[in-house]
Amino acid sequence: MHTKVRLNEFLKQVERKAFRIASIAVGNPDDAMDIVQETMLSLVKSYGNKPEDDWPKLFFRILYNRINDHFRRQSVRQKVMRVRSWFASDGELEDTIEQAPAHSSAEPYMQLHSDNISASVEDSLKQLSPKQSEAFLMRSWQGLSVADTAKVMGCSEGSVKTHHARAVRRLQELLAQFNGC
Amino acid sequence: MSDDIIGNLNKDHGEAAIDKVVKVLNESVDGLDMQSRDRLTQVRQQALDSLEAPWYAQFMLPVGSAVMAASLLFAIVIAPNTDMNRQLAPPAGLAINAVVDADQMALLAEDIDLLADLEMLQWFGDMADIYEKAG
Repeated sequence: MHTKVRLNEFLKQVERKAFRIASIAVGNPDDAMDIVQETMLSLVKSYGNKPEDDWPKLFFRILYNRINDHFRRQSVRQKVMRVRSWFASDGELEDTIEQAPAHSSAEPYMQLHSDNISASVEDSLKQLSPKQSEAFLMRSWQGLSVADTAKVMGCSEGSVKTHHARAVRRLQELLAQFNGC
Repeated sequence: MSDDIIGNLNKDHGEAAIDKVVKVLNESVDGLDMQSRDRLTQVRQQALDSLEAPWYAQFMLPVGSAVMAASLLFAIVIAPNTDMNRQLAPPAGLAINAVVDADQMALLAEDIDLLADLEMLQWFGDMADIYEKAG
């Protein structure tokens, strides 16, 4: 029971950031919510018995794995649909507009896009490479140490420092460009 | 201007960029809408409830996926080389890959669901045509 309480507190602390990270990565709040849910389930089921200090790095490692799975799944779906199109005649294909992902409704936090600063920051983050973005969000936003970030990213501490430094430099450039517009 | 001063200026600009981005991200988290907050609370609760799930629950998805993949493979290997077989070949390829890579099992289940949703009715229709033509 104690573990459940501690897990609840931990998940409560990180869930919004995790949702935000997933939203920025996949660009769709519904998919982001699914990713966060799978991450929570995986942490609770497989790593709930691990020391509490390990939870943050495990949680974010799982989160990024799930984000990668999401993109892999998308690519498989595209392949399946492409294969299917070889077998279907023109008239048999579904309406492509109907198949297109639903345009995410304008949730209030997404409306922050109308705010220039917020939009420019989000656009800047999207323009970083996945590794740079991961290093930046883990180090600068989540406040993980270099060693923990390296464990989350599955790379050396030197790589984390390099990715982070490049991310900061790129963000500087991009934000300066946005400010100049 | 000495290298030290240039270095410090760059560092200051870097810190400013970090502060700006972190501030905006924090604001977006604080300003998360109630609907998303409620959904996050629900998914957290569901995750915590899984601690009390029966011991066999964790095996249900992989076993179900394996059964589906095995059925598909069985159909391809046992079925004669017909048009139906060729139509089933692409998902069978996915199934083989998924069996090799255990991580793909859940993915396969979803893709089979997707195929089932989109394709099955049409496949049955196609097969009916094929058999009708074959007499």
